[in-house]
Amino acid sequence: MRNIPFISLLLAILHTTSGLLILIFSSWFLAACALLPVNFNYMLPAVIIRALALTRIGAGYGHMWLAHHDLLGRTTWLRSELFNRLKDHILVEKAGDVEKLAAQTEMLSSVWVGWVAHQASAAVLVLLSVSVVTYLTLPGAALMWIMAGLWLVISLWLVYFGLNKAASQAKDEQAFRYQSEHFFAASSLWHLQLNENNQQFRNAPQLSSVWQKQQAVESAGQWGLWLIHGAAIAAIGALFWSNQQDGFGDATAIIVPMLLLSITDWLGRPVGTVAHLGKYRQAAQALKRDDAAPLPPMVKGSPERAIELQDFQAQTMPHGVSVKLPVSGLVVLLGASGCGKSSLMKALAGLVPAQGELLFDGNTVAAGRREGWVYVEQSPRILEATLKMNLNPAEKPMTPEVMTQALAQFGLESLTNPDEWLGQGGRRLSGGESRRLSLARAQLAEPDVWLVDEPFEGLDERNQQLVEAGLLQAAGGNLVIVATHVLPAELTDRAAQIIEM
Amino acid sequence: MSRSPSLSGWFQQSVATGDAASRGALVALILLQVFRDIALIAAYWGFSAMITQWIMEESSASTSMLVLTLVSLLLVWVSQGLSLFLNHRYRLGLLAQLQSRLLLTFSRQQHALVRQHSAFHWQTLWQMHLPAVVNWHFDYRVQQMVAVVVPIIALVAIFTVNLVVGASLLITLPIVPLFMVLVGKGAAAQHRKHFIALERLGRLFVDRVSALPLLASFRAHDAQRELLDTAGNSLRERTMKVVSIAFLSTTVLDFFSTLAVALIAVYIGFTLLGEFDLGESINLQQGLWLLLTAPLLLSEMKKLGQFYHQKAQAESAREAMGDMLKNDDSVVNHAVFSSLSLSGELTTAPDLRTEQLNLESGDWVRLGGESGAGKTVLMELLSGQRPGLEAPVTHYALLTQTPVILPFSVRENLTLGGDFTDDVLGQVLAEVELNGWVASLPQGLDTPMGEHPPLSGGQAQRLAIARLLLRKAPVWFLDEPTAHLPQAQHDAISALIHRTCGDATVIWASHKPLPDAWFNRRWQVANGVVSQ
Repeated sequence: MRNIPFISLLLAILHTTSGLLILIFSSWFLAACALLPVNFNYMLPAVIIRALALTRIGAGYGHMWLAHHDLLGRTTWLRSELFNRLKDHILVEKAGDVEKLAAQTEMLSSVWVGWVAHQASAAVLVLLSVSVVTYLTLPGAALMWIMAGLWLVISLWLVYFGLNKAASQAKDEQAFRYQSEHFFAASSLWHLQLNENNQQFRNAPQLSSVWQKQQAVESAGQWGLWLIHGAAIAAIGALFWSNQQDGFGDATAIIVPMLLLSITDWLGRPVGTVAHLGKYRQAAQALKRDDAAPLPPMVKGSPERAIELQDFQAQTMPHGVSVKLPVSGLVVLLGASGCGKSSLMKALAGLVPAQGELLFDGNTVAAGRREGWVYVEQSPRILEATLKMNLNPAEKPMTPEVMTQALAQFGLESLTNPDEWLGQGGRRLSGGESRRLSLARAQLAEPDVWLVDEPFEGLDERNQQLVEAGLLQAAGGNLVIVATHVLPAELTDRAAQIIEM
Repeated sequence: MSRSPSLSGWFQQSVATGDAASRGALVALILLQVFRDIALIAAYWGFSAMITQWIMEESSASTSMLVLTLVSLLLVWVSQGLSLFLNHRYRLGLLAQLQSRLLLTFSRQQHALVRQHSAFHWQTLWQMHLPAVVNWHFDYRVQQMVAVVVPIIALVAIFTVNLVVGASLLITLPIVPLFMVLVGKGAAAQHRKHFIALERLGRLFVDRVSALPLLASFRAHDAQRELLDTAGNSLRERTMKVVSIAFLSTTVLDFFSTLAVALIAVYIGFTLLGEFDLGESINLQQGLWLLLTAPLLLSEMKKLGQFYHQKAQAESAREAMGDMLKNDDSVVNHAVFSSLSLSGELTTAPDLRTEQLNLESGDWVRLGGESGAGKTVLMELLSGQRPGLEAPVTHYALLTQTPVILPFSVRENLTLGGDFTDDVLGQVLAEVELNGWVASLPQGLDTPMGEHPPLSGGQAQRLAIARLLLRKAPVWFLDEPTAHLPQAQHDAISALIHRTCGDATVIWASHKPLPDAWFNRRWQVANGVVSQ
């Protein structure tokens, strides 16, 4: 675990403590001035009041600065840890889950500024006030003890309540995400359902229970504070009604009534936020949970003359494929979308678990990830990064000339500036450009075997030709397997082999 | 959609329509809070009096002052409780109302709307943006008014008690609106900078985690982790430099409110001692009361600063939602389609117009045009999923290029919750030649399809057609139903559609060849014009 941000916490406590002290000390000072005791050194308290004011302002700023510095650093650190754990793993999750991970790291980092600082301040203030009033044996000291007890009980109960609610809220949220995912995926069917149900959705997902729970946590804190406030009012009444002599004529008698009167000022934020611990714990648990599936291991061995598949398949495919492949040239894997082409390609690339036999030059070899085998995804991923980084994400030593050459191979001569930022906030590539860039990236990894998934999907004539040309060039000395549901005429003639699935 | 001038303007025009978010609720909350602060000022008076009795007069609290204090404090407590109660109730009420409006918009614009963004976008809109608007309405807007009214009341009260303190606070009063701006601008700038920094960091992280398979494929994980670390740290250093100054504006408010208390305390103390004499006598009761009341000038404004992030969140909600929450009480026309004749401008963004477009019951229309020319838009318009036509086609079947297979059983995939007998289901399955496939499934019709349905692309499309056949819709919109299928499948599925929908009105968009003899009309979309 990363260090506790002690200084920032200390400043937060100093900030709130000096705030309360100014009020209490000032009111005592007024009372003392009004009494005009003999030899009253009034200059010192005046200086102390101003010093407290400056302390409060300085500590407030310092806390804010340090806490945000810590928050940003902590977020980076948490993400780095998480990212490290995800090495050679695949997240088997739905859209939006990664965004949620990012949000949860942020949430967890803010626990210090958003929760601990408030609760620590409250604890210090409560302890300080009961010890002072007890030490000075002020009228109403017993009432302060009762208030402190009440604060403790309410805070503990709120923590308990918050933890429970957050857990059940997280469950409801998960259910909503699952239901709404299917709800929106089926939007092209809504017209059928609505027609049969008087234009109303029959089973639309709802967030009402999530909101109710969220609201319950929020209002529990506010009602908790309201109770404390009510108790403080009763205590003020009891104190003034019952006290017939104690501390009369003594300026310090003002302390307990002042503490009670201003209780919502100094306990407001802590009690209001104490139930939030639940959402921090949910974030911590979500980050600890391991939903990532490890990729199959790296394996050695490369084919010299021939590759053969015998009933080879990804585990998710209904049946295996048996076929012989050359070690160079262009092989087309033809079939309708959804027939398992992608799964087969991923199984060959070692990105999903495989079963069946894989033979190199007649010898059975293990399936898995291999040095020199590169899978090019169906929807090309352009990283939010420079062109250079997109072409060479592993940051291998590479000359600009090689990059230019790879770009030219796929007709991307228009991309000339290696430091140009791609993606959001930079240059947006068209679908065709993205596809060709992903192929140029593959080219720069110098693979022996290319596994290219649906490279012609959604491309116009010109882009299709550029991709074909680049792939044919790549197939000169290497094996290029192209999975596609459309067969461009050019490839029919020049493919070494066409496999129908 | 024209851009509305302000957040409240947008809210008034696009959200608070019909019976949603009545002004009365807002006014009630504001009044309760102002009343609470007035009662608090009265309570301070009684409290100061009782303290004075204890300390100066060395007697116990008088009954009148005790009653004044306790009654006022009870009023504070009750109005606080009432405003909490109302706030929570209004909030959940508005949330439920806006949620049903969102669903109504979905039910009106359907696939035409939903297909424009990812499911994640809609989830965020529903889960984050709806509550953001409600929170802003009930917290920020209430506090905004309270932060203006309460200082004025407090100042008036202070003037009646002590002219000097009142006057010196009045001098700072012009600073109050300045504070509003400072806090507003400062908090906005701070929030924006901080938010942008966090968002950038988050986006980079999300981008790289989403690219895990790519990074694994290219052995780029370590290089990218280092990059994330460096980016995080350097962004932190840069952000802190900017934010350091932005924090000052928050500190300024803290500075004045703290210093005001300190200076008033010292001034009153010294006046009580007789060290200062600015012509006005003061006693402990007044002094204490001033000390307690003066912070009210700024404390409500400080609270507003705490709600500031709600404004930024509501702004982004406005951007995402536009007019989606508007009250829509128009009635859907349920007439059975007989014929249609259109001319002139059909829709804007994207623009689509026509000289003349006719459709008769029983027509088979071949809809042609480049991809992106507006074929889908035209069909959405005719089906009423895109607003524009007065009397769109109501009872229709829509088949898109990606068949939707729900993770439930085959039966539920066909019935979608409706009532159909096994005989009827068997009949349509036979029509689309899937009866053999269903028979081969372990639990027949009740086999769950799961996340990865055991169907080829062609089979999935056949199942989707069977689902439509069940409904016996008089009009069929076919939007490239065979786009993802190889030639042989395309031929088979097209023939199947031709065979089974012979009597219906069909509008068929396809890039792939179809027999001319099937169609009696041809529509062409090009450059925003539909011609026949």
